[in-house]
Amino acid sequence: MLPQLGAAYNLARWLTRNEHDAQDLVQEALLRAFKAFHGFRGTDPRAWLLAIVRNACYTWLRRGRAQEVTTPSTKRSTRRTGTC
Amino acid sequence: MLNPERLVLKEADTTRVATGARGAAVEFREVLVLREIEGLSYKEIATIADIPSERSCRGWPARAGRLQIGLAGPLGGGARDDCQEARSLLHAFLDDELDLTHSLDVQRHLDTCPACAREHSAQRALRTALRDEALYFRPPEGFTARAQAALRASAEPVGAADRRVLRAASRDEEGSGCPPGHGRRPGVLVVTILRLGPGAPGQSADDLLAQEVVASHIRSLMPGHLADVPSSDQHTVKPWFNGRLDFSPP
Repeated sequence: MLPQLGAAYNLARWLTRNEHDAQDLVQEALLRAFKAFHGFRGTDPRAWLLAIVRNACYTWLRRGRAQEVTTPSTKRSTRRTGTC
Repeated sequence: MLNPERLVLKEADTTRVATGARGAAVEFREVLVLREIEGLSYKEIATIADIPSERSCRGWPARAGRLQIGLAGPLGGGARDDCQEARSLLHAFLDDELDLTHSLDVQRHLDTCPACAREHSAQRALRTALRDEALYFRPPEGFTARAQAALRASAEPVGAADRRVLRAASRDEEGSGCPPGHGRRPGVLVVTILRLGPGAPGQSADDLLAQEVVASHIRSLMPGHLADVPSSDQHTVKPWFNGRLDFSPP
C-alpha cells in the first residue's frame, strides 16, 4: 500500500490545498485502509486507497465549511461584548 | 492575429495553469488531478469518486481548466453543422478512446475546420501543461517514514490484545475444571458465553451484550447475510462492494 503513498498525498494535497492537513488526512486514510484491508476484495488497491483518501478529504472539507459558517457569528458576538 | 485565447495558450505556463487548477471547484479539482496529473482512466475515477457513469466526468478536467484559466465563453467558430458532434467527441478523441470510424471522422473534421482544430490544440496544450512535474505534489521529506511508524504503532496494540485474548482463552481451555468466574477477562467472557449458550439464567448487562455480539456474529456468518447493505439502489451498492470499505461512502 505504501507505494501508493505519493498518489494519495498528491490527491489530498490538491483537494485540501494545504500541506499539513493533507499529511494528516493521508495518515488517517492509511490507518483506516490498514484496518479494513482484510475485507478488501477489489482488484485495484490504488483506486481503493484513493477512494478512502478522497472520502476523508470530503469529510474534512465539509467540517471546515461548517466551521466557517459558525465562526463569523461567534466573532461578531465577542466583538459586541468587547465594546459594551 | 493574436486573440486573447491564443495569447493565453501561447503562454500557458505552469504557474498560470496551476493557479487556475487550484482555484477550481473541488469536484473538478478531483477529476483534474486523477485524470491529468495522476493519469488514471475515467473508469477508475468513476470508482474512486463514486460517480455512477464514467462518461459523465469525461471532459471535466478540461472544463475546469478552461473556466479558471480564462477561456470561458463560446469559442470562435463552431458554425458548421458537424462541429457540435466533433466537439462532443473531442475529449474521447484526445484520450484515444474512440473507435476507428469515429476517430477518423473527428480527424477529418479537424483537418477542415480551423475553429475545432484550434480547440483541439488548446486542449492538448492544457493537457501538456497539467502534466508538468511541478504540479505533482510529492510527500515531504520523512513523511513516508512517519506514516510507516504510525501504521506500525496502530498495528501493535491490536496484535498485543489479540495475543492476550488468545492466551486467556487457551488458559481457560487447559483449566476447564476451574470454577466459573475464574480469570474473568473480556476474551474469556465471550468464550464462557459461547460454551453456556444463550439463554443462561441470571444474565447481567455484560452477558446480554456479549450474547448480542455473538448472535450478530453468527447471523453475519449465515449465507446471504455476509454483508447487509442498507440500500436497494445499485449505485450505492455497487461501489460499496467494489471498495469493500468498513463504512458506507457518503
